[in-house]
This record gives sequence, C-alpha cells and structure tokens, in this order.
Amino acid sequence: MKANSVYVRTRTALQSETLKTAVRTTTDKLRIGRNNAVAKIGDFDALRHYAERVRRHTIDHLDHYLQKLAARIRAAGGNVFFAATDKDAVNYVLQLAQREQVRRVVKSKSMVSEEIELNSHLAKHDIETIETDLGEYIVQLGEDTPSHLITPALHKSRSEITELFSGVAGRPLSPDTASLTAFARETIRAHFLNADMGITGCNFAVAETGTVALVTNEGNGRMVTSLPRIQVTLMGMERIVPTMADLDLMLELLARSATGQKVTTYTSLVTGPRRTDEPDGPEQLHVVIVDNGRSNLLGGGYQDALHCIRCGACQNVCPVYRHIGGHAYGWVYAGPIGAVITPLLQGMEQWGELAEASSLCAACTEVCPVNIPLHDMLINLRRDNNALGYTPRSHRAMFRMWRSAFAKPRRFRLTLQAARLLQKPFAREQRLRWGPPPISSWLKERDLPAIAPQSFREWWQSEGGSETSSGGEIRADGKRPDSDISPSRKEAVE
Amino acid sequence: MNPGDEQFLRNVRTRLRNRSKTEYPGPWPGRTWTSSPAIESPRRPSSESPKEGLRSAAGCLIDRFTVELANVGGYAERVATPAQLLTKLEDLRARLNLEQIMCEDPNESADGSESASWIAAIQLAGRVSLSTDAEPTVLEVANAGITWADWGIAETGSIVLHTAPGRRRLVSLLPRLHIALLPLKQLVATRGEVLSNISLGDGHWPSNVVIVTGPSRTADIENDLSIGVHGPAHVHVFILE
Repeated sequence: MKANSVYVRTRTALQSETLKTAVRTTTDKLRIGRNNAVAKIGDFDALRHYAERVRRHTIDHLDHYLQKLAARIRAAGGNVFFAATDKDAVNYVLQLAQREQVRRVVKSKSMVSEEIELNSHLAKHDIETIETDLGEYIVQLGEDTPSHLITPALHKSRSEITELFSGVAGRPLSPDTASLTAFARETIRAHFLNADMGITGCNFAVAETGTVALVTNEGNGRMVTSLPRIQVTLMGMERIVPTMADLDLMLELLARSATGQKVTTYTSLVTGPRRTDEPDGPEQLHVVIVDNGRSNLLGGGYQDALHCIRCGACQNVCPVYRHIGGHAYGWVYAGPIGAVITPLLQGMEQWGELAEASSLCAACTEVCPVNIPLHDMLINLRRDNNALGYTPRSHRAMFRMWRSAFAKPRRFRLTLQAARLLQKPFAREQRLRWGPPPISSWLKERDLPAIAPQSFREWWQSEGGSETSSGGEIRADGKRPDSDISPSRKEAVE
Repeated sequence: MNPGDEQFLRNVRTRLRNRSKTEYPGPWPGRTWTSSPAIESPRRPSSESPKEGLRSAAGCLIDRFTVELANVGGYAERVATPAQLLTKLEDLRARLNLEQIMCEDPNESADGSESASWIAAIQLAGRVSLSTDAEPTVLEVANAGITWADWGIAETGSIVLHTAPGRRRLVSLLPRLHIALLPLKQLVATRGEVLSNISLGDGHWPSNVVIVTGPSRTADIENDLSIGVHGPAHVHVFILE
C-alpha cells in the first residue's frame, strides 16, 4: 500500500475521536439546516432541474461565454488573464504584485488559490498574505489546510483556536466565542486597512455584464473588494452563468444548500474597478480565469462535474466524509465532489483510488443542487481506474473470485457451503478477521461479513417455499428483485 | 482579445467539438409565488379591491421585510416624516452612546429625488458628513454610518447598495452600526426584481452592488454563532414613507 494512500490517511483520521465528533456535529447542523430550507421553498426540485439545464448549457458553450465575459470585464475597465495551468496563474499574480510593489495581501476565500498554492508562492517572495475568512484565518495560523468547503476550520477545537490566537496576541485570550471573534476583528481589520492587494475567489461570474459575484457572511469579501488598491479575483473557468437571472437562480440554491440560509449576509457584485468620481474601491481589477485541469472534463463523461457550485451539501450527507473528515481525501476538495474531481484534475494514477472512498449510497446525488450524478461518476471512475490497471491487485483478485463464484447457481451454493466451513476459525461477531490471500489484503482496508449460518435459499426451503422456474422469486410488484440494479451498478459489481 | 486568450479558448472549443449542445432554457423567470405562509413568498394584495390592494401591497412588503430582517438579527422601523426620523436618530445616538456618526453625502441618493427635508434631517443627525476624499481611517473611528439604501428586498429582509459618483462603499462597512434609509417606493418583493432593475448609468453595471442581509456573522468557531466579525454588528433600517 502506498504511504500517501487514502487508506493510510483514513486510518489516521479515524484515530481521532475529537475529529469524528467535530465533523459529525458540523455536518449535522448544516445538513439539517439545508433540509429545512429546502422543505420551505416548496419547489426545490423544479429549481434544481432548471439550474441543471442552465449549467449544462453554459458548460456546453463555455468558450462562447468565457469570451463574452472577458470582453465585458475589459469593457468595464478590468483586466482578464486566462491561465491554462497553476503555474501560469501564480506567475501572473506574482508578476503583478512585484510590478505594483505589493507587500501585504488580504484574501477572502478562494479554493482555486488552494489548488495553485498561491500563499506559499507569495511568501517565497516576501509578500505577506492574510486569510480574512475567520475559518481560513484559523487554518492559516495553524499552518493547516481547509477541511470543508463552507466551514474550513471545523476540525479545529476551541482550545486549539484560543491557543493560536493567544500566540498572535502575545497574551492569553479568553476562550469564549465573543472574545475570540473580537480579537480576530481587530487584528484582521488592521490588515484590511494596510493591504495593497485583495485576492478573492469567485462564486459566479455573469457573462452578460462582466460581473463577479462573491458571497460571504462575515463581510470580509466586501472589505477585500473595497479597501486595497488592487483587486485580483481567481476564478475556476467553469464558474460562469450567462445572465443576472441565472445568477439569481444559483444564489437561491447556493445558500440554502450550503448552510440552510435563504441568502448569505453579503452578496457582492463587482463589475470592473472603481469608476471616475468614485471615492473608494480598487483602482485595478484583475480576473484570472483558471483551467488547471478542468478542460480534461470537457466533452467526456464527467463534464457534468463542472456544474458544481461548491455548496458542500454532498460532504454533509456523505457517510464516508462524516467519518473521516476532509483531510483524508488528500487534496483541496473533499467529500463526494472531491473524490470525483480530484482524479480528473490531478491524475488517475495517484488519485483514482479516491473513487473507493464512497459507499455508493447516492445521498450526495440526492442533495446536489444542480443534479450532478456523483455516485454514478464514482462508479465510472472505479471502472476507468480498473481499466487503466491502477486498482490494487488484491481488489482485482477478490472480484475475480466473486465473479467466478457468482457465475453459476450450483457453483455459488457449493462455494457458500465450503466457505462457511472454512471461515470458522476466522469469523467473529459476523465479520471475517483473517483469511488467505487475497482476502487478507482486502481485510486490511475493509470489512468482510462472515457467511451466515443459514443462507436465504436454505431458509426459504425450510419455510416451505418453492423455487420458481425462472430461478428467483417474484415480488408483489411483479418485478424480479434484480431489476432494481442499474446498469452502472452491475458493472461496478462485476 | 489577447494572443494568450485564443489558445486557451481554442482548447476549450476543441474539447467541446463533438458535444451535442444543450439549448438555453431561457433566463430564469423566478419562483412561483403562493400565499401559503408555510411557503417562502410575500403575500399578494387581495384581488377583490384593487385600490385597497395597492395600499396593502406596500403594507405586506413592509411587514415581510421587518420580520425577515429581525430573523437575521437586524432591525427595521417605519418613519412617516423627516422630523420623526430626526427624533429617532437622536434617540439612537443617546441610547447607544454614539459619539461619531458618519454620513454619506445625503444628496447622493438612489435616484437623486429625495426631498430636501429628509436630507436636512439626516445632515442634522450625522455629526460628520463625509467629504468624498475622507480616508478609510477617518471612517474607522466612527460608531455608526448612515447611508441610503437603493433597494429593499422584502422576501429576505435585505437592503441593496450600489456605487455611484460621490458615494462611498465604506460608510456602510467599517462602523459597527449601519443605519440605512430606505424610501418605501424602493422596497420590492424579490432579489430578481432588483437585479433586473439596476440602472446602467454608463452602459455598465455599477462597479459594486452589495446585497446586505442583516449583521455580519460567522459560526467558524465550533459552530457557535457570533455577530459582527468583519462587517457591522448592527443593521438598522428606517423605511421612509
């Protein structure tokens, strides 16, 4: 097993009880909030169906809308740079900062900046970057990385936060939320007032007007786009909507899905830098449109993953995420959406195994505000990963055994009977504890239930049931039980 | 177009070449409204008496706005005359011990049509009226900032502020208390109505439009809600009738 494998990281994550409790508490709160908000809105399915069509149309015509967006931003006095790779994006920001003699940068939340590791690149050139979202600030002080899209510091406890803030203050701080928040307000306010450059992410960009939309609850997004003389917005190239009406629709979905709010406290709509006769606002606006692997998804079977609006709802319902938290996924994006896009953006060989970090329960697909079929994509990724030969040998051996046992009814019955006898020394509490290879290596990563003392077939016969000629029982609704299995599921089982 | 753009966009175009293209479903028409209180929607005026309906439409919007803003920790109240506004502002100042109130140039209202008497009241209440070249540090020490609200959104209790020549973004952002003056005729039901009615003075959207829904908040420390982390901790809206 690779040392940097998701299996190793999972084992580490599972050892921390505090992490498990923190993840569960936060995701429960967000999940319940989301469910209440969705129940209230009444026609949520109609909304997300509409949003799905808007997103698909936009990505299908991405070149057209990007061209339009860039033209509108430039017409409003802003600059646009298309960055094909992470390096291109970093270099653009770095050169701009050096040209403008920028020493201090304030940042509001940007996942793209995490992708391109912008902070560390700026630090290498003596440019100080301060994260201003409270959660991101905590993560930055702890020299850590975000573990959730919406609540990046959910893995940090109050005592850890108090310690970090006390370190900055140079005196012990009281651990109550009000004191800690007041300290953050005061400290970060000074950074806001002194920064030369503000860097933001982009929730959506509106092609028809050249507008960048940012949502925050704290107000740091407003600060970053109002105080420094230069504003840089990092935008994943897919975060685009055609019109303001479409933005309205996405905003309806985003806050409700993310936190259960109807709307976030602040929605900032930025169109170009400050105009003539305006007393404040940035003198320069630079929008950096980043590909960084996204075009790999265009035109293929995973294109719909680019519809994502980064609400985090799939993380909050995922039984895997809820147990292991965000860091075990190993890169910037965690949860079901992370398991889908990380291999596609960063390469299957190293990251394809993330598709295994799912129970395929489809809870993610059920909550997705733009109907991305996440669990189907995870199955397809498993298939691709296998076809590329990246699946561990133990997995392949197990599935070969499985297939051969399942192929013929008679063989299946004999295998069961033999296995029931052979498992005796290794089965405890209905789980296999050990087995010969490849079972032994399978068991390092997963549970394998022991074979039950009586099979369903045997029980059925003992109850006086008879086998039908078609070889299976017919349910009350007239369907055979296996007709529930979707084609994609069948492939995955094979 | 810059030369770098072309290569980037060509790559996107090439990859989408064989894709069957989805039609645009049309600009989103907005949600359908029902009058059931269980569903999020503003109440509609009764159709039986159109005259009464118009009056109550405004009343419904005010009610809804006030309730929604209170739900997120803000406060809205209606004022009928400039004299009443002045009394209430003086009252706020005394109650919250506001030593310095900053005020954006009150002549720069949403559409420049606010009556001189409202403006006089605001100028009297604001200890310091801002000149356009004031430094952010000047604002930083203010206890409260008074601005016009260009729009109000009843459905969410939001106010909308946009930039214009002479208007400062920071007055509504840096002080701990934001006092917004919302002319009743600018109060609408939904965000969609605002987005489709933003005026394009010079053919562009204003450089900054911000939709503010209550005070600044965060729950980043162990899910514990905290008010006033970066933006104002208090939002007080006066609806001017």
